[in-house]
Amino acid sequence: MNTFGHFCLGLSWILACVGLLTGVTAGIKDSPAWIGTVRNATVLSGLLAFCSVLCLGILFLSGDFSNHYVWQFSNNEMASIYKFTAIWGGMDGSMLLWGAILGAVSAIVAFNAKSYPRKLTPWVLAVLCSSMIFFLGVTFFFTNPFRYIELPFTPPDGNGLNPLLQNPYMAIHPPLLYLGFTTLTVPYAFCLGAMLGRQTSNEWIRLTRFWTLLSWAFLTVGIVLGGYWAYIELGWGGYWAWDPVENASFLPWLTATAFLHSVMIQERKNMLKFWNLWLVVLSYVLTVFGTFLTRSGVVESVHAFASTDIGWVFLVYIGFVLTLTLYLSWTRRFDLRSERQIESFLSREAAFLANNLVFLSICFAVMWGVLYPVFSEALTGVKQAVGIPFYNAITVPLFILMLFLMGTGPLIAWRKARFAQLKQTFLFPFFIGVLFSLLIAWLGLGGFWGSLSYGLCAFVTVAIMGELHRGVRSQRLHDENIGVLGATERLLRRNRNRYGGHLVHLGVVLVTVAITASMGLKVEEEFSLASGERYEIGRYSLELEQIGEKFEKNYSALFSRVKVFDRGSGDTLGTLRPEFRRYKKNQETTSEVAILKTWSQDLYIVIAGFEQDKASFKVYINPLQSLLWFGVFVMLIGTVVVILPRVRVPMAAESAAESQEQA
Amino acid sequence: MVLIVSSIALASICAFLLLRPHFGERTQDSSPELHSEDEAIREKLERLLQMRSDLVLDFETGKISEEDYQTNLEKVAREIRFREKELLTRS
Repeated sequence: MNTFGHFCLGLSWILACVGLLTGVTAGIKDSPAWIGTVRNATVLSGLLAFCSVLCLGILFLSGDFSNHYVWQFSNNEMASIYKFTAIWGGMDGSMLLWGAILGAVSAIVAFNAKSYPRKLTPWVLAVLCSSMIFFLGVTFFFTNPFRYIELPFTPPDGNGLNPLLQNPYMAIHPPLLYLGFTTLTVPYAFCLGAMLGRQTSNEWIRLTRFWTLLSWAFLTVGIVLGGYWAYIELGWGGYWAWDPVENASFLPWLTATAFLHSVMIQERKNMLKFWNLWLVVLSYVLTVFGTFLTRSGVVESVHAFASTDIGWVFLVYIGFVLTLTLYLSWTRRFDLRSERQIESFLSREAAFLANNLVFLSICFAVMWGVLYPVFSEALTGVKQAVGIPFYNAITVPLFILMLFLMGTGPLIAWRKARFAQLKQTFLFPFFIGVLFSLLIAWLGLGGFWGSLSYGLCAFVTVAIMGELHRGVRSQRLHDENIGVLGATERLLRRNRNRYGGHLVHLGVVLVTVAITASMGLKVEEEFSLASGERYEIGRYSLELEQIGEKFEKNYSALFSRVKVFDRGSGDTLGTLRPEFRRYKKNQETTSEVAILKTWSQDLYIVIAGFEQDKASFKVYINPLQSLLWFGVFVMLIGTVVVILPRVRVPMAAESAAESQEQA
Repeated sequence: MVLIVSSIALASICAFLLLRPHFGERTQDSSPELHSEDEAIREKLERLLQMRSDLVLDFETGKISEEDYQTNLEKVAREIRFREKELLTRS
């Protein structure tokens, strides 16, 4: 199986090379036969890449420790599910998985190629193949997971997966992120393909709309699941620490979000073509750049994989993609000219552009923070890292500005708005926002930024609700017999993209409220308790019932049973059991968190240590934590509303037919 | 032995599928043409119709005044008529 997986990987890479060459030939010759070849090459390459990852999965499940990678990341005691997820437990398998998912996505695109314009198809597939060549090539030549162990015998057991990674969320978080990264390759391929084939109409945007939204949804869920895993597994009481690995996935998310907004301008006004080209390419490049950061050892991270010496391969590839884009931008500059100009700075277009600038500013700030240790070492010889305060200081004002634009955007008309009109729609939400800010400040629930953030959340919510209300009212003006529900349903159905987007924004508001609360109102205390002793924190009273020891198949643990009471009423709220585990195989230790979840706050307990008959705890009260996860869920529902397929009746065809009938 | 045979078989299937489009029966290519002049006009027309629908919704939700609405609507409608005529002439 090892050799067969290796063979599949090699053949897949060769087929990707064939796909690139035949794609370019097909693009130049405009020949259906060559297009057929590039299609088949892409589908076969994708299938074989997927086949090789399945081979690796079989090696893991069968416990074939003659394979070095399996020996490194699996052992006999691991549950089957974690044996399989150990595929992406290390760098070699991660790269293979990335290549395989990219292969599968490319195969789907190639499979549907007959529905794409003929002159676009070969170039798109060629670009997809070039991406596959890179990822499969890196896997095959530098990080091959199909190497045999260099021992004269097959070890009876392996090292095992890092216990922290043996978690259901960690099992699905990386594949979701890879799905986000790889689906982002599709708009990149279409965009670059359109430029290469000199097909610079906006058709590629329509064709990749589904993929762009899908990618954004995967990236969002992937990032949030990573945060949730950190929250329940790492035991430091938070979900986001601006770690380079986290930032690596956040950077393309920022540019992809900017692109999702600015592409609307291109669709409607045929503007920002140049800008969108670069945003798509930048989003793709940032996915590769993130991988470079976390795998090259350039930047240290608490949960980065071991550093390797393949960073230069990533840099060369990034350099190649950027040079090609630069060349295409220059040679196609006349095709990329905007059909119209922004008519007024008080317009939806201008608001979207401002939104883009803010997203890119956040992206730049985060990237600066990530790369600062590299620059500082190069300039001073001392590696200096920036921490959470740096990121918060830079990004919080930018996120606040983003929130303001999120509320203002929907209130401004396309093309050109007037202050008098804007005043009508803007004043009420603004007034509510200010009132809310003042109320929060007066209640002492937030400082300057906190009050501003809550106030802006109220502003955005009222603005969206106002927009919905006015839309429903206009529907009812058209049809007096329709009720409020009917009018709402009709409005949402006819403007699904717009209101799906608003739903995503409402989700962002919920997430922002939760983040603001967790930044400003978090309680953190450390204390020790002996059996029977109590400690009061927030609205809770904690009593240590028992300290005990337990022995499982692959670990032993010291645990403590903590009973939680309501401090006011004395009612029992639950029993928590944080643990301190030591894994037998590699003697690694983990602290298992115990959380009492409610809608208003999470009581989060971690064992800090044991001393004689006492246990030390670190306890956090995280307000509105559940709202954060719920907000992300709302964002996803909004995305699904926008993504859901619809019967597309080309408006132009419809309109022309109508005119013909009239004539 | 099984491995070698299956690998050779797999490689042969791949080679066959890659070459097939060059030797098989030539079918009429059904992929749509992109950026023919008709398509370009149609795309422009779609954009204009989208602009008109945005304009109507903006007006109905109170974001533009009656005066601006009428002026812009007339402008967009004129462009739509022009493109429609262009499309009809070509067809």
